[in-house]
Amino acid sequence: MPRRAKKAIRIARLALAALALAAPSVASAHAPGTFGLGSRGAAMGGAIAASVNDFSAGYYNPAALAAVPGLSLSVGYFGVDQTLRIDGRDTDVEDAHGVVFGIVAPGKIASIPFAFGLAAHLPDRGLSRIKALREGVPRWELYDTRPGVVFLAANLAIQPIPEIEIGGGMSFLAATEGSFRVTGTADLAAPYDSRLVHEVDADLTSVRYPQVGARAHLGELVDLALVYRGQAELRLAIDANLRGDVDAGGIRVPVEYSLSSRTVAAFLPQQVVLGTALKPAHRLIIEVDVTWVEWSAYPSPTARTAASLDVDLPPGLGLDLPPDVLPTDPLAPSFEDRFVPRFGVEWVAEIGEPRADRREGRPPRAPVEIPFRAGYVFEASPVPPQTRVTNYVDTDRHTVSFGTGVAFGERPRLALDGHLALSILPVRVTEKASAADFIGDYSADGIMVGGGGTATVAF
Amino acid sequence: LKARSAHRFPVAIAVAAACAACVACSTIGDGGDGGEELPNAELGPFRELRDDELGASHSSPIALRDGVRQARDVSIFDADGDPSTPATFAYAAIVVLKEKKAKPEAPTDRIARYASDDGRTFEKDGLEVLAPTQPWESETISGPCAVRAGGEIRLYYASGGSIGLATSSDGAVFASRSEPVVRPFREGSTLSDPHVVEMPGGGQRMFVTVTDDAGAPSTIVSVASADGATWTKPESVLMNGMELRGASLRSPSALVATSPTGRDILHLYVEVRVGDEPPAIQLLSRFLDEPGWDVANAPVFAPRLGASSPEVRRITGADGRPAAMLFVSGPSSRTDDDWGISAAIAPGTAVLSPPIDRGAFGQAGGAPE
Repeated sequence: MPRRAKKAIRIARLALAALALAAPSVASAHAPGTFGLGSRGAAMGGAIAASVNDFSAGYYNPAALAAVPGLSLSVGYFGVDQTLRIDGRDTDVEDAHGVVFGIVAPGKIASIPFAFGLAAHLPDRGLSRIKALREGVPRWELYDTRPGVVFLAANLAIQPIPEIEIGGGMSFLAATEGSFRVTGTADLAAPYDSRLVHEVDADLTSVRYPQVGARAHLGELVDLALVYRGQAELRLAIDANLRGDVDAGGIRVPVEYSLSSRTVAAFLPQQVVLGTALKPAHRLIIEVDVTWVEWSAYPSPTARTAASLDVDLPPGLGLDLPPDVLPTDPLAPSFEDRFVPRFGVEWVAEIGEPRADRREGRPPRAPVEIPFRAGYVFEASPVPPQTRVTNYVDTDRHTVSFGTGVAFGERPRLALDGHLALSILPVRVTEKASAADFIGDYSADGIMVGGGGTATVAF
Repeated sequence: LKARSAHRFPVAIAVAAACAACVACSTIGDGGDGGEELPNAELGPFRELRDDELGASHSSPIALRDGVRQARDVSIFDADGDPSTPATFAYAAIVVLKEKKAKPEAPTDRIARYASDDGRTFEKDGLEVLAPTQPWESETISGPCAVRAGGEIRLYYASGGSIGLATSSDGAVFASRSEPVVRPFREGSTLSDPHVVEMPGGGQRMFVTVTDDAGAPSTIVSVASADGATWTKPESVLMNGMELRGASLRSPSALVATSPTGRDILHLYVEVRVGDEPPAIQLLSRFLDEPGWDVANAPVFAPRLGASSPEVRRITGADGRPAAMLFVSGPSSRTDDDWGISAAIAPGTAVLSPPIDRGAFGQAGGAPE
């Protein structure tokens, strides 16, 4: 009988420990930061902080919203096939795809141009994703769960003088949190007769982080941009509680077991972007952006858990209870800050005689425009060599991208853009410091192939 | 113009929203979890074999239990020399049970061979292959280690505090040498639990347990040989850290593996005893080009009632993926009344082919108990 009671308690502890493990790993940032937002930005490698001209300014540089000539609505879709391998074998990391949309509504206040913009990315597999991994389990930390976060940005921008635009706003990330509770009596002799009530309480939550940007037009040839994106953490708390009686052959043993798990469900490192757009020829833009990313603030994706067991044993039962599980203390991932260079180029072919835009200060536009775009990004891995217990798999990433489209009409003007992107993740070899490491040495590499399209109606 | 725009604005919104909804709804698909084909060194931790992974005449996790004798210190041997087939012999030290429940520490006095057709479900009626006959041997014989060398099978064993060698052409009839091949390194100590492993580049290395009469914790020492008969250059197994300081180490089981990046690693599974705690199986490893042994950050196998005398064999799972089988001596994890050789596997996700059971009568496909 004591052994049965002990077994029941052990099972309960295991069940709740398993629940604690259900704490998600960090969803690092979001799809816009990894794959771009909108086809124009994705086609130019994200190097558009100084030349962005549509709803995607809500992510790339909110200041540029003030220069959008009229009310515009955009909707699009993107998808990325991820083939991420370890030791040459595909690890089946989830592909990324989702819907993007945005609105830009410009106007004037006291003759000062201003604009309001909304930009969003919605992963189409759900609003949040949870994944349970122990600390040492290999995982593509930056690409596995990243696309699973809803992104929404709301910004305001003004143009106080024709040469300067300033904007800023808030971005939102969404995830879930919840608690789990079990009460009742567990019957050891007849488990299926146990009277247990469980409650699950889950909420969709969000966090906000600021973003600000500025853009300066230095004559006809050069535009400069400076953008700041704040750090965001979606903290996740799971509290599990088992309270009730264990019925061991007629002897009821009151049991209360509590377990708490705290982790960060999603993390966006703060970033600073410096962008320069050159316009050496008519309808030609060459842009170089450099993004500083504070990866060193990346938190451990392993949940911090604590548990306690309180059993009111009848006298003389002679049961030897196991000690409480020690709180987990995950190792810091020790990621390193990185500068990310981005290069983008756009040339727009004009078909038909350009006509002056009716709005003041806007350059004349041809009836039909066909843009051609290309980009390149190099992202050095922020993950240090995984020589010890953790196995945050990552490699450098080279991305080349291309895009084209067509824009026609005047008011409304319809623009259809598409893009293709290819990311190469070269082989990175991990050699363990300990010969007795359970995971051992491995190599990692990968390919990502993505594409998408965006339709914009401008009035 | 204003009127025209005003008319088209809601239409555009409606079209955009409809497109978004259609796209979103039509593209929900299967998602990978990023957990496929993850790297694993197949070193542990091990999980006990389940009932459906052993023959019907066996109760999980016991893979070998003699019907009338107690078997310990198992050495797993490829029966046909073909690693692609599961046919296996297990050489084990045995003692005839004089009582229904013999003491686990009762000295063993024979070595017997047990056959298995699936590499894990062993027959219950082993063939006795060796008993003490040489003047230097004591009545106790233990710690068999069988290796194939050319056309013969060599069986190393412990007796009288030294390590002996017996050879056989068929694995059933062994002739022991008149002198031990390894004697105690100093007076007052005894050697036991030999385990021999082929080293990359040629030569062999034998690991043995060294026990002092003074009562100090037992340690592991290795000796080297070019021919398997003459052993020299004893080296103590010294660990890099302090993890096992003060613990008693014994019953080594060694294997050499090459990492996916080409590093040769020597792994040593040992039985670890700390104080009065039940013994557990721990892993020590070292890169062949570096000194010092690393200790795994957790025991690879630590059942509630303890485990002794590890033996590890690399296998290929039914899904074609590599795995490792661990055999240990000790009580079943389910009850301390049931002694035998337990089997476990790593990684825990390994898939085994259906078991082949020789049954209670020692014939493949025989009736279960």
